[in-house]
Amino acid sequence: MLRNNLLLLVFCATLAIAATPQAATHDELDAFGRAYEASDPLEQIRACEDFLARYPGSEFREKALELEFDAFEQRGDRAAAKRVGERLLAMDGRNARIMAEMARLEMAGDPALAAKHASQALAVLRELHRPDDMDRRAWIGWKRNTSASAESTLGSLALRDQKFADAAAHFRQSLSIHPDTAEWQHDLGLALFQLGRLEDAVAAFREAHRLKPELRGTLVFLGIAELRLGKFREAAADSKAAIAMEPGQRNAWLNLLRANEALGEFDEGLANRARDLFADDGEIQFTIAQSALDQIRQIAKRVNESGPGDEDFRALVDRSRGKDSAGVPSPIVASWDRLAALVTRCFESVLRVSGDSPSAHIAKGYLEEAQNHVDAALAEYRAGGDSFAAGRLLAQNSRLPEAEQEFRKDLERNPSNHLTMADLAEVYVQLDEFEKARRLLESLLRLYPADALGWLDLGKAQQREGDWTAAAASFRKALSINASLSQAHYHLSIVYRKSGQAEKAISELNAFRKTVKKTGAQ
Amino acid sequence: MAKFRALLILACACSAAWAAEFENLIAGGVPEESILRSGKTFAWVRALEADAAQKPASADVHAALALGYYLLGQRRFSHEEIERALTLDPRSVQANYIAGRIYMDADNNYRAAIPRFRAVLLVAKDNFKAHHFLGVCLGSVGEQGQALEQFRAAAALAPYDWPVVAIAQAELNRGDAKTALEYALKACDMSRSAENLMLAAKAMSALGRNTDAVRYLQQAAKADPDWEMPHYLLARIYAKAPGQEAQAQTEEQRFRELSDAAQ
Repeated sequence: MLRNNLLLLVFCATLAIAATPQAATHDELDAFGRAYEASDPLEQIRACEDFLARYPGSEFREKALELEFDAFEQRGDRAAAKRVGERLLAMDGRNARIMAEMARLEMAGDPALAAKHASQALAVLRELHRPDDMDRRAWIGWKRNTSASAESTLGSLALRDQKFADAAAHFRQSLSIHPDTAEWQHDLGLALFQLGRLEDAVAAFREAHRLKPELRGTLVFLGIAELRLGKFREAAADSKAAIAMEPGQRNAWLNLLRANEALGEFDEGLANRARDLFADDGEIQFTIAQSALDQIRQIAKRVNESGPGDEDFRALVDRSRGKDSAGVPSPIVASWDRLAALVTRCFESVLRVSGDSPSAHIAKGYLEEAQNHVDAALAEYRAGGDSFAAGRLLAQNSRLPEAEQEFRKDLERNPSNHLTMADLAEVYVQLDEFEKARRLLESLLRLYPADALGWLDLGKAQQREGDWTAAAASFRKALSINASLSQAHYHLSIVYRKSGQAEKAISELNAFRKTVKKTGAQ
Repeated sequence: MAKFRALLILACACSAAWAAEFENLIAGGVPEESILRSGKTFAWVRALEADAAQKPASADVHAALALGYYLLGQRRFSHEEIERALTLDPRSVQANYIAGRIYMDADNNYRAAIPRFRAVLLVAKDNFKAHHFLGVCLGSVGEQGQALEQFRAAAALAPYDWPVVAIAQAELNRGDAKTALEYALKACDMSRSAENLMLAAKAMSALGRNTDAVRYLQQAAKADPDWEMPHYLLARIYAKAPGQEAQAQTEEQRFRELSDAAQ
């Protein structure tokens, strides 16, 4: 019988349907029918106006106004839709669908009114009871859709007001009704991101992207959340995908550059493209410069290991003294030249576009450091809020207690900064704070078990604690990853000697001498 | 934004039901049927009004108009037109059928509807819709035996499950759970709707086959996740079974949640 009772479905879609409107005349019914079945929104608006003018006392009046409201919305005429909506609410202050629609329309112009409409819609929905003659499924569907719309409007308003917990709760309500709405998943992701619930935010952004791959902005925020979680590979991949979708998406570029930097990967072509695209963006220019500087440091380290007899070593020493060596530079020196030029250009941009920004201070810090002006560099790093750079510089200059303070300050801000953890562990080793060093190194080595230098540092800490067996194991692990790590041979020989294994000690000492001779390192 | 709006517009989409389920209101054919099938019920009514102006003595046109007004919820107009159609041709199948439906559905006047459906069957004895709704009316006035006869006649002819469902329900009401189950299972074979599964579960429960009933109720709950009734019956069955208090509570809670949502 439920299904057969279709007559009573007529007009049962909205709340103001205590009874089906009855036309007084056939002409009135026909006029409403023409409005109802109009083929396009403009024709519908005209037919509704005509109907309302001819039959001002009609029982169909509210229905005609709802049709007109929808038609104005379809045409994108929000102002007219609002005017009609106000007339409808004046007629029936408990029309929940129109309240929910009005809330959405008012969001941009009058957020307070929007919130009022949405809350009222939800209150009305809670109080309403299904009319006896209304189909259960149609009723539930209608009620849920209207609730979901009102909840999502409240969610958007809460997001705008930075009430992120409220926003998340509203979007979860909407999504409990329509879990496949990508926009709400995205907005839920934003709220969770702001609440610092990064894993949950990533899940929401991923779901939004799965539901609607073309939704703009989702991949950008997904990449940013992943970067904050230390998921650098995923952050880089999703940022690249965001750039493919929107090539000028500044935040996606910045995120990609940062993810690559965290991964220790440098794409010179990508860096140059970003530099040209965002010539006036201090933050991007600074990030490129930092990545390039990392590369320069790695080149310097490699060349330094090859020793003073090496041609590249001499060429770089010349460059550090402001001289160009004659002839065609080797590939590694040419790369150094390009990177140095890139750093210079980027820092110039940073100083030009944002002279007093944190980035500019840090750039100035690098420049001071390059001239060995340690205190001036420190002052700039601190002014720029870069505790890591300040700690690194202090550690390099054996100002270990100050370095420890800076590194700890950096870790308070970025608890997942593994580079800072590694440098702080090294400082602890030098400060004979072996227990602290060991704890940090053990947690890092669980994440990066192939870090030979990490195993070397752990061995040193264990050696200082007198744990010869553990220290020997750590040094051997370091050497199994990088056999040319001369320091590991040296420390291993000491550990063997201390533990009474003379032959092994001599063997390791010989290995140390050979390695030093081979690499030229001391 | 378009998506959000579409959700709200869904509410209005129910109005499409104005023309969506007219099939069981047509005893044979109707004039201007292509317009009705296009979903434009108002346009169909206008076309019929024009036809009626040209052919004022056509019972078929007036019967169709009565149907049109009925679909649009216009009580007075539909009554006027059906009386006119019956006056013009008291033996008209469509006029009698739609008159029966109007008296039954809109007026709840089952006694007035019964002779109209009988009049259809005098001319068209294989009209399963008339058999079915005659059964509904007879059942409503307490003539259960005659009602069952009509449902059985309809079931033999109908491609739909509703006469079979009606038999199962009638048998269950009069305490013959075994026959009720036989028909409910037939209905489930025709359509595994939540309602049919629920009906079979009720019959199974009445026969003491609670394990089977639980299985059918779980399927009913899955088929219509918004329907509270399968959870109500599950809660009752679990509550009687020792050691299943927790399931009973869970089902009762779900029943309450869905009842509130459906209020």
